[in-house]
Amino acid sequence: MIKNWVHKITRWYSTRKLRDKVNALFAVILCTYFLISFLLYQFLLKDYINTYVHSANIDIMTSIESSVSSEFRDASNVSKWIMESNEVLTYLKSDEKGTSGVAYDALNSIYRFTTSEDYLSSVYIFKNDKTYINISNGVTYLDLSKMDDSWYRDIIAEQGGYIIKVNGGGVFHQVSGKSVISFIRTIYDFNTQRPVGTLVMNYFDSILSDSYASFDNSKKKFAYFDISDYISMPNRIPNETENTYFNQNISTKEKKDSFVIGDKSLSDNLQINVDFTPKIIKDVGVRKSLYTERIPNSYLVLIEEDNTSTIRYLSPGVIISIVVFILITIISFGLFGIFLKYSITSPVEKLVASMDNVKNGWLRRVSLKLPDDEIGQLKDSYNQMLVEINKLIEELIEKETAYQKAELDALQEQIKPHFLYNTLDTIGYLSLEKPREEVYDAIETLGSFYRKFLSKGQSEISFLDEISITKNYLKLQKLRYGDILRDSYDIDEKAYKVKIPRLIFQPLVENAIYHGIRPKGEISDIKISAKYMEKQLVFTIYDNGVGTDKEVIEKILNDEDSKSFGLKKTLDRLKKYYDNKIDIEIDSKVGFYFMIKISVPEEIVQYI
Amino acid sequence: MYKVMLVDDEKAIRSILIKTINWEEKGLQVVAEASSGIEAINTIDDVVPDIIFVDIRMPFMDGIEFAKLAIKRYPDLKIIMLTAFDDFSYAKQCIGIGVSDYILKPIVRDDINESLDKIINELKVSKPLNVFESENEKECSVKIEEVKEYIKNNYSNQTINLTSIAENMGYNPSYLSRKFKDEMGIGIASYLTNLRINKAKELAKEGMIMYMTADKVGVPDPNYFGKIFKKNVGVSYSDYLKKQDEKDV
Repeated sequence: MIKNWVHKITRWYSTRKLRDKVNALFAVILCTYFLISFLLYQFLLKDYINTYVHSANIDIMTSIESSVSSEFRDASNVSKWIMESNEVLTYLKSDEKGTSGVAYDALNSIYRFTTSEDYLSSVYIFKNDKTYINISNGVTYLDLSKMDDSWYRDIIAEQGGYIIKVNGGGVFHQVSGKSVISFIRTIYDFNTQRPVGTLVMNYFDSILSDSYASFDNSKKKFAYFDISDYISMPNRIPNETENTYFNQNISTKEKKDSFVIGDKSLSDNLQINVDFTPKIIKDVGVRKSLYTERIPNSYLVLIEEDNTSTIRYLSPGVIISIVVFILITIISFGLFGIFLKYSITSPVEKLVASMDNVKNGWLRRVSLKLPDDEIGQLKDSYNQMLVEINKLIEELIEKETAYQKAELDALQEQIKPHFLYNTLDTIGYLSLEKPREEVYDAIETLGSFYRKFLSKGQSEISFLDEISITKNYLKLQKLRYGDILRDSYDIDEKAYKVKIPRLIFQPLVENAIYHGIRPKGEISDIKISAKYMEKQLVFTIYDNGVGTDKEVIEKILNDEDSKSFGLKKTLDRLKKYYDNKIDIEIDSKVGFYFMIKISVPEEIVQYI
Repeated sequence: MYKVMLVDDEKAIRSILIKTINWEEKGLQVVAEASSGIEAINTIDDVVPDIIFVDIRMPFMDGIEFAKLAIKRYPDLKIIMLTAFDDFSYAKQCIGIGVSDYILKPIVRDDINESLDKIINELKVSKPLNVFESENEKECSVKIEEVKEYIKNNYSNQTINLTSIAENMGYNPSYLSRKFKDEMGIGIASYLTNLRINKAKELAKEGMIMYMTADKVGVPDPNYFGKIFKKNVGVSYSDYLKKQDEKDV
């Protein structure tokens, strides 16, 4: 399966163009780069940042909690002073009603103790019969019916310690509708150690809101909730390990009711199991974290929701570094891509486009301006190659042209009317001086000669026809020059049917007459033979004319002797016809003979 | 009568010319034939023609070479060149050497008659027939020994004949001819031929084949050489050669 895929991809890749390959490679590298970056961020940096974020938030929570606790400790101290004040105790022990002097003294002393308390809204001193004195900053309503047994039980359970309740457990409420945070404790008589009254100090809710005000921003939300109603053991405040006492099944309405101050929307998350140590409750969404913190000695729980994106926790230096790093990477890729394009892909594409012209048959050199590197060298080599190919083609054409010219020349040489004119003159002479039979014989010979000679334009004829042409030619030449030669033939029967290019033997015989026999001035022999021997068909043309020396033979074979150009051309035609597979030998003795021996391997001999 | 000489290696051409042209009517007479330039050089002095027909293509000495020599030696001589139509580039070499006319082969009588009529008219002006040339034969002593010496030294030169010898020695040709014959009892041409034949016999004794011997003795046309050899010696060169072989054996 995987192998199959790898094979497919490899095949796809190998058939792409260079440009596509580079693009694909770039895409893969970029994807890999971003994937690795993402993974690095996800598993290393993000974890680290989250840890940092959490610890920072926990620090904030702790700090808020300690600030609130400190306010509460302060309140505790004030309450102690009030509790221990003689005036207050005197008031509580007295039976006086209304604003008597004792009450006045008590209030005075309370004033003294509380002047420095900024958040304090009101102070109430209740006797056991629920009569009370108070000082108040603003109007506070009381609902004494709420001060029932259970209300007292909670306070007494603290055995002199304080308890913090929102709106004094429902006893108080303000005109503004805002909650007050009530600090409640039982006042004991020094002597009897019996409870003589109850002290309630109501603080504005800003005591809570100010605690987080400095951290509150658009990304962080804070809220306080009073969870006293949801504690399954209402008689005492659960300690920090007793999470299970928290009733998790709280309705939305109840949650709203328990809201004290802060961002109300946080009530949505209140159902979450509250641990009374500062801790992360849940990652809400990708970037939301929720934290809770219980305020000691109270049913108050601080909730924080942090929406700050993790990036904000990175220092500007780090962000700049990352951005610069990414920019450098992208620019590097870009530059590398441009480099690839301009120094490799584009030149190669141009080169290929230019080379493609060869397909159209244009063997033109590439005249692109290319860099002087390997691609340039490739172009140069290619051009060099084209030059060579062109040269070869030219040579080939030249060779072919030369061959065709030779062929044409050979034919023209023969067809030219020279011979015909001379023969006509000869026949004219015969008609004047010889018997008419001889004249007829000459005309017949001439007719036969030309019929075979022209061969209906065929370039190949049988050896029989060629010999016939040669015989007629010799007969006509004898009429012209008198008895200057004797011709004889020794030919294997089979050889008559051999197919040869026309006009090979006639020119050779002509050559023998003009360069061998006539210069000798004596009656000479021409012998033509065609014999099968040693798997070869061997043709010989022999004459015992003046012959020639080796130097001249060399010259004939090397194309240097212009006199024998016809001989050379004829032999070349034959060689070309047999694809250079034949062997041509020239043997001669000056003053005695000249012989051309042509050996054709039997396997390439063709028959008519 | 103006004298005509025919030089062509083909007997047919010579024969046609003789038979088809009405020479007498034109006041002409064919006095000699030669089958090569070599033969013509050797016989021209005997006949002293006024008009010569020469084939442009001949072996051993072609028409052009012969024409050059002849015009130089016999300035009044009219030469008619016989040439094939496709020999034109070859014929161009004749320009400037003083050939009187060209006749294209195959031979057409009208062409020849026309050409001859033109030339006869020219001859009538330059060489009137009834005026006998007053030969200013200065009486001077001919140094026969020197002439013989000259011939011995130059017999192998294919171009020498009476005229060229006389020219070279500073004599009038006919005067030299007569004086030589008076002195030696034999004409200069015959003397030259005898010399050549004797040399040829010597070479035959060495076994040299005919065409080589002919070339060596200054008669590079073996046909003509064969002819004069047989005429002078009585047997053909090849027979003579055979005899020599038999003697050696």
